[in-house]
Amino acid sequence: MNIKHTIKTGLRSISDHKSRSLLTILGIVIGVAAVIIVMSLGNGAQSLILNQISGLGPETVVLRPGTGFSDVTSVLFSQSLTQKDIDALKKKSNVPNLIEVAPFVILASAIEFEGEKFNPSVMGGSAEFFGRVFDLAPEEGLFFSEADIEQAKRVAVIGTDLKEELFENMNAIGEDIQIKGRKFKIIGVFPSKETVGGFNFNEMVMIPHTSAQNLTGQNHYPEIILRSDSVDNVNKMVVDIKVTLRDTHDIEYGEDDDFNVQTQEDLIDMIQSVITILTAFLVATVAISLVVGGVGIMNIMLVSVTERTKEIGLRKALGAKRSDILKQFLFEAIILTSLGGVIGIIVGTGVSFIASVILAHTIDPNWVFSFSISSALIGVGMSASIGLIFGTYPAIQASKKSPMEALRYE
Amino acid sequence: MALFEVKDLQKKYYAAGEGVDTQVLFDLNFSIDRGEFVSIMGPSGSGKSTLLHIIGFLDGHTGGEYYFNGKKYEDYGENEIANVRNKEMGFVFQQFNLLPKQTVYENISLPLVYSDIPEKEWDNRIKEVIETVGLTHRLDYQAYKLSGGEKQRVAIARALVNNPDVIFADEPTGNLDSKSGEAVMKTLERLHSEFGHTVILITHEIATAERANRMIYIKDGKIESDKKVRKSKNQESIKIK
Repeated sequence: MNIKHTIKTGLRSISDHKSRSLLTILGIVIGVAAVIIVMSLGNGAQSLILNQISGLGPETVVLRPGTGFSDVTSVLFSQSLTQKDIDALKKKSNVPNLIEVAPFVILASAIEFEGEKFNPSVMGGSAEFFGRVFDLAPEEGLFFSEADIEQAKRVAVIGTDLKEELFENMNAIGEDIQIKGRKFKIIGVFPSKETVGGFNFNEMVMIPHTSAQNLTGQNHYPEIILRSDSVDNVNKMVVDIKVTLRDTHDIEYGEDDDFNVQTQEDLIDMIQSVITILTAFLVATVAISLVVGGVGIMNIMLVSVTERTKEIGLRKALGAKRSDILKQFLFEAIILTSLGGVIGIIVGTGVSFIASVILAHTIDPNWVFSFSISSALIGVGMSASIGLIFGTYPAIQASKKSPMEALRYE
Repeated sequence: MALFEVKDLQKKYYAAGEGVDTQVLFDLNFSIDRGEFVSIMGPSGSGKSTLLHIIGFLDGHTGGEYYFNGKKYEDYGENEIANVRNKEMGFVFQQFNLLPKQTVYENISLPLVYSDIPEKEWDNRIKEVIETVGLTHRLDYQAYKLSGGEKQRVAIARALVNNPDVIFADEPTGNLDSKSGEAVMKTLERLHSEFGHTVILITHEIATAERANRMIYIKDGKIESDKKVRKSKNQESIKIK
């Protein structure tokens, strides 16, 4: 029997038993759909997160205390980065390519307005710097200047959502809010902007980092953003920063740094690999359901072989070779599972599309629907291989039947 | 050279667990030439169907020798056996054994699917054999919609489509009323007289068996008689339109 007729026979048998075929492939449909959904949402999450963190620009690097990103305790509690370091870094002779240094601190503090408490994120940093990096111009009022920072003035710039919450449509400029019991004057409002570089400016209160340090009584920084004069000089700048800080921190040759410098490239690589591992793990988990679906296929194919014993006997009596019967049942299983794969891809794509629309409305408007040809091909490939793997045993059983015994079977 | 030749042919069944062999056929000897119309007759349980299965390459024997076309059964390979069933033998069963959901056309094409006959010849062959059995108007019917007699004639058409030497008919009228049975018998007679096929007919009815030219009578697995049928004038005058 040639391939054309083998496939025709397989399709014929599937369409002759429509509801049974449909139930048989349900497991495969669900499995493949789940793989597609997980991969699609994984890709969506990845591009969303990368979009959010890559806002700082490739010429910036982030300096943190501690040995690395995973070293959480030292990031939170280390006091290794201080004003002394900033002064050393600012010296042209130390780091010639450095053009801007922007330390910032995060205050774990609520704010008070007219006796009521609110919980925005309170950050000490340079509003002008962030305005430049993220292309933000004050929507109302102005951003505090370097001079304000040096003098540790008690001024604040707030986000639009917070302004809306506190003042509704009233004027906010010139009003006072209280942070840790101290009055801060609102001098500006950030424009409305989606989360970028990990910062949600809409819900933020930004005050000079010097004023923030006065509030906490600390003089170290959990994070310092540094900008190079060009992308090409980033790596050279990183080396200069390390040399300078090892010197100011008196780190001996052979000892590890007590700080770390992360380029945007490092960050993207790291996040990408985390998400890839997570997605792969999820896909592997979901793939187990495909194996279960495969066992279901095998089960039904075995029943089908028994049920069609007489047909097998007849085909053999009419001249079918053992290999013809083997091919017939194997192809039937492969066609069945591939069909399940295709339906699964359609269902999975549909569900992930709907999910991404919902996520865009609820979580982040930047969530985009992602469909990859490769995941579709993986889906079809996997389901066809499952047909091949789990269809082989029933097909062998079918081909072994003796024609006479098969014909007698009732 | 005889088309079929059996020497001291035996068949035993091994009943698993019971430890006792059941012998169904005892030392059978006969030969059948190309172009003969032979009926194998006997009461039920006599072993006639088993004999047909053995000479029809559907089952093996357990003793003696069987030659088909001068070649010993044991010398045929598995694929060769499939080829013999496909090209040189056509089977008509008591239970018809059609694929019920497929059309008459598809059912008849089944042996062609397993043959090496070029696909462009299939249509002509199918139309030719369906005309031989007189069911051209039923070609597009699904098999389960046909009457018993029609089903059996489709089965005959299917057996003929590869133009085999031999047609085996195992109780072909067993499930049919007398009128349909008569139509089937007339078709079989015509295959022999007009088209020169070798026809081997299994039956337990003497009247049906006597339609053949030679009758082998089997009882309890042994040949009781093997003789030419003397046709009465009445029978000789049966003509098929």
